[in-house]
Amino acid sequence: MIVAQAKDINEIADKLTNYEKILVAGCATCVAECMAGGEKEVAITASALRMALRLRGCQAQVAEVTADRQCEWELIEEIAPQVEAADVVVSLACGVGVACMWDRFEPKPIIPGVNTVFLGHREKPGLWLERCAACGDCTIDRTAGICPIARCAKSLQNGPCGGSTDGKCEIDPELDCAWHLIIERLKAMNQLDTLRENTPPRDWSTSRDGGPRRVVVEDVEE
Amino acid sequence: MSVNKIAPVGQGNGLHLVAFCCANSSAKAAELSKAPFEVDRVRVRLAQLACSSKIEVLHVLRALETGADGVALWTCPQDSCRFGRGCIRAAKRIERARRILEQIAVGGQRVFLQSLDPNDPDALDKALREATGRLVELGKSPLKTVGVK
Ligand code: SF4
Ligand code: SF4
Repeated sequence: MIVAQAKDINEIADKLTNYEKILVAGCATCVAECMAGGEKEVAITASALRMALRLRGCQAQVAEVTADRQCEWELIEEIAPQVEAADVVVSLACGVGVACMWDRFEPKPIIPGVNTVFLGHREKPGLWLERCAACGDCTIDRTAGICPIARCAKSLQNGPCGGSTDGKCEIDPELDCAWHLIIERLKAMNQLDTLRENTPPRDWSTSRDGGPRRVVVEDVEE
Repeated sequence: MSVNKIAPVGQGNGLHLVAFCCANSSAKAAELSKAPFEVDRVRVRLAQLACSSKIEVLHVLRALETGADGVALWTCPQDSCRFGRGCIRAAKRIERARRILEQIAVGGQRVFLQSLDPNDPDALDKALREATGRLVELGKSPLKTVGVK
């Protein structure tokens, strides 16, 4: 899932001081799961914004709505009446949702209310971890399900850098060294030898280096 | 001060406290949650929670947004929380509410969190007096004193 994190309320409030009708729009899917932009967070953000704006001397109305998803045209349409009625929208969806909202409602300003941070999962209540960097050429099986692109601070492909201590990364003693984890897992599987095979330099054109990416599924394309 | 000295709502001093109390921390909470009352001329509205962890960040924010000058949450001490970690979870939610209130300059110090001694029958009375006293020191919420453009 896409993991996002709440922004400082003031960063949002500072952009809203010239508007009278504000809509805080949540997304009930990924960002609701990571507790950044679902219905509950919409209510918290809206309440905090009402107070922050009042303290800035603004008498704005702050309404609330949550779409099932802000990245699907049909589901965006369900909140269109509320969006149309607002002067500005604070979207608590990920960047994908914010971009889609702009495409649908241009020139209405859609302000991001969260920071989209990574593709990851919930490790335990309150903790989400990055697991994939969407490189466009998945080879995670080579490293026993631990992606070195997403989880090694240097995205190294052929083993650790040598800077780790006690299984922790040299950039942060709280952070597991991905290569330590890979080696331990392969050892337990009795497959450490597989690392003798050199991983050639990656073709990063499938990743961000190739520019914006697109996926076409021809049999359903219209 | 004991419960029977708590005054019915009168003129007051314009200060409002919204208080939440874990139903397991004080037997008196049920009686006091029936209607608003005054302590030291501060108007108090008390609500019982089945467990202090039922508190939501939104409860705290909405109380302040809609006219409270302060919010209090009274929990059980950690070693006598009936749900084990209820008061720890409650404290984390209060921390988050305080962080947001600090960010927006309403002030996290307007949110009071205290555990009540289960062996002290006057624990709730004392907590009430402490919170209202603290609120008198802090004065009105900045949300009530700001001018609107
Ligand atoms: S808009 Fe973003 S957060 Fe919402 S469902 Fe789509 S991908 Fe997930
Ligand atoms: S190899 Fe690429 S697609 Fe696969 S998990 Fe890593 S970053 Fe994601």
